[in-house]
Amino acid sequence: MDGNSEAKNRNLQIDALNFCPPIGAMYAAFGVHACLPHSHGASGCCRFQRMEISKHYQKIIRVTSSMLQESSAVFGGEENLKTAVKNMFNVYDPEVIAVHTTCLSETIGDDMEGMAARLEIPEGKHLVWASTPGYAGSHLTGYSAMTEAFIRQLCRKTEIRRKKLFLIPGLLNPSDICELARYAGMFFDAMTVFPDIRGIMDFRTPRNERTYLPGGTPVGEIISAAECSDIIALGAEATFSAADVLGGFGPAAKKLAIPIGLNGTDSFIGTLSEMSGIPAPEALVRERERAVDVVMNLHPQLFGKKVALFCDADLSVGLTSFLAEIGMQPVYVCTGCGETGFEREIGAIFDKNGIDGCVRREADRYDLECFLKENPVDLLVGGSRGKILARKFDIPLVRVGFPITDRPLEYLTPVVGYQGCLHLLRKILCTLSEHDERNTCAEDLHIAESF
Amino acid sequence: MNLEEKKRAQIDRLLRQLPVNSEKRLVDIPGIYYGGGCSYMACRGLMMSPIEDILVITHGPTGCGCFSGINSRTENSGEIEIQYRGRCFSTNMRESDIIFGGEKKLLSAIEESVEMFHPKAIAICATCPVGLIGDDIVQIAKTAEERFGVRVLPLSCEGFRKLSGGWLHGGKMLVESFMGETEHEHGPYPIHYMSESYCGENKAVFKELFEKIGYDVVCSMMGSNTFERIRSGQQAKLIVLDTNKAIDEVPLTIQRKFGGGFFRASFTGISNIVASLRKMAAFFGDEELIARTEEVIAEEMKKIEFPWMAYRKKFEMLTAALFEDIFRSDSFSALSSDLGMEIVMLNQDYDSQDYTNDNFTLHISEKKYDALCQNASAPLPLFDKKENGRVYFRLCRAEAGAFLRIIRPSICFAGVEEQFGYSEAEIKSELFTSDERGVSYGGFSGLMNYARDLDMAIFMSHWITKKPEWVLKAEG
Repeated sequence: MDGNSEAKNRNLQIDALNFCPPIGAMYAAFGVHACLPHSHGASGCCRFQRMEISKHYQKIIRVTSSMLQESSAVFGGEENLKTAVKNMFNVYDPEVIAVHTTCLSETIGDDMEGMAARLEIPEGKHLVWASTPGYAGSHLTGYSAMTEAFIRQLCRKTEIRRKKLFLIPGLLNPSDICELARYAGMFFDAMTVFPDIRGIMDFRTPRNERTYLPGGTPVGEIISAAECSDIIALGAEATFSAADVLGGFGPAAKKLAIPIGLNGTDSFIGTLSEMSGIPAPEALVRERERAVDVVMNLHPQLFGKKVALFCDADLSVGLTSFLAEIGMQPVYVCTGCGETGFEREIGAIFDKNGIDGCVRREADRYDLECFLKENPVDLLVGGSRGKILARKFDIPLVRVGFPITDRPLEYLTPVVGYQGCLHLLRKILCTLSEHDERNTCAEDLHIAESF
Repeated sequence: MNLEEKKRAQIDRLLRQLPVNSEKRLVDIPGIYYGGGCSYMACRGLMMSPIEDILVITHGPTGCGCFSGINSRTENSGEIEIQYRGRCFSTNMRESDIIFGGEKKLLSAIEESVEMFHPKAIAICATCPVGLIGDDIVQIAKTAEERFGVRVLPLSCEGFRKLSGGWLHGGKMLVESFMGETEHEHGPYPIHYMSESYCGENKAVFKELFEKIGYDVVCSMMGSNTFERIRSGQQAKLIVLDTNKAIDEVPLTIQRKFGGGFFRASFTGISNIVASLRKMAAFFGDEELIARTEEVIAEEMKKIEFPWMAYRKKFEMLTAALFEDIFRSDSFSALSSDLGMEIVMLNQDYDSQDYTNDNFTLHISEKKYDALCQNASAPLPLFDKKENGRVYFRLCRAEAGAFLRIIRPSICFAGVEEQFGYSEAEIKSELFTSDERGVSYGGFSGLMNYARDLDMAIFMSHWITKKPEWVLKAEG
């Protein structure tokens, strides 16, 4: 299918589909226990980014900044970073500070490595830094840089190996991580999930600024990560580089797509079983059976319906696979700033399922709009900002991914695993039905349509 | 004195304006939580976003444009049909643009936007890297104006410049580049209502109020506005600035260039509104306008009199503690005070550029002070001065916390609990205690909305303060 090639040459970006890397770095840093993310840049970056995360989770989150100003742009940001780190340890008492860079500090050429080495860190505390210029990549790039930085800078080399899983889940909601950890727990008695935002993002931030929520990956577990026997990284752009670095210390690493849908979950569980050498428990077999039954039961309502998908790259791969396997036609899959592997993976799913679709890795929402003008679809799947197109073309929208800023508590519903499969099915069917019913007059409404 | 007059005098006695600190600003200390944004945010978000027919192109990497797009407050006034409303534009600079410069990209982005959307005017907002790599956006703007026949406003609002620089720069550029170009017909009392609250639901409230009295809002920077209104903004005879931001330099620039009057006013809280309306009428000095103003005030008062008195009775016993910020503390103190609540105001010395535990100021009313003197369980700290019916104390952080424990405020707005560790207030609704939530309570009806929300907050807060036995046991 033609994907509007004219748009590729446009210099004007209209309605971006992706954020900049620092927000991903911030998101990853929140997954560490008692970690305070720090934005080494001007005062606005961290405000923009934390507001976006705030709106997704409907809670206050706190992030500090180096407050670089004109003088720092000339003389460098080292003095500000020094003051900031000193203040943060004094006033907020975090266990770790996770510094990420910004356009400003990268353009003025701050040497973070040298600066970090010269900083005074109190005994027993840590500082990790990642390079995340806003002009290179998407928020997944930043997430990847921060997770990699944690492993590279904290993890100690060791010859000891224990039967333990190191799970890198990618940029997901806490409810998704709960599901993944539940599956992994059926095969591994010991496990580290990193970054683990469970118990952090889904709970209110304590008013007291020196108190940290009990959730998050303990720093000690990142330091001793090399003792793990196995690593599983889910998603591609957000997690694979961290898995590579940790794999370099000795543990066996497996890299999978985010397990959305039956196929994805099957291979995630297959990998868990293979790595642990333990057969899957009966309960899991039954859980899969139920998901399969539901798909078989409900797919006639979905078969052949066309979908346009606009999420971050990692989520898109999982979702495209899911939509294809339940019989829908993901005819347009786009992301704001994906790597080349993205097009290859989506292309493979298209080939496998015989879908005549179009994939775009550097699109904006205007590209999607142009596509929709020419090619009507039945469903949109993506974030909140897609609601404008949904209204314009009168297409129902299923909200998935990060950020969802216009519907509260959306982060509570998982999309991964067999449970996620059921939740997604329910969301899609309800959205489609409600859309249909809105155009039906009261007397003609069916009371029991789905069975 | 007849009954009407008596009643009016009675109500007038209830009105009281609290002293407002005009010095306040955000203190930016590296590594300390900061509620503010950056120069780009101030310029793009506060000054440019509300103008519905100026197409704003963010010259920079994807993030800034994308983040600011969501907060865009443009709304359709119905005056013009615009193809690019609700969209956000960016040049999406990549690594190669940072290395080789983004001027070419910007110029062709402008060309594309002209071809696709035909705007009358375009504003270019620069982000951090632009100023650093030396893209000459002023020159690009000139070239684009000549080549594409569109007005282009280059704004050097790089994020690392001073925060207040953002809105000042944006405002001044608008005035200097566009204002005074055209003239339109207008009513006898044209005003420039400069306020970020002049949009959305609030706008309708204010608009109705001004129209009733006979004012014609010809321009509203920071509020809902159009390119054409800015061009003819000089026609306003009076600029009314209603904001917590230190932005006086913009109206002063207009005043220097075009004359006319200017003062700060506030349209949140009845006392403030009444005082502001009277001040405006006095500025024009027209007998008819003054009489009309009083008439409208009486009319509006009549509408809310009963619920207002009922709420006052309910809230009179409450004490509210507020930490002064540039966002909403002034609004909350004015509204709470109108409901008869006692206000405890806290702030820290704005000159200090370091994180310290010293130099806090706390002030309460003399009435409250006298009551505390008689009933307090612990000795009160020595006061610093008494001024305008308020008693001022200079305290360190710990002393302020201890004093709060004596005062026992029933509600602490954003910042108080975090700054002083006082957590015994009984009303704990996130609606008021978070500095992230935006709620506006403008106009006469705004006070009623505030009272309703406060009522709701009191009712719901018991979930936090009253815990079941088993929870207390589990918590030890």
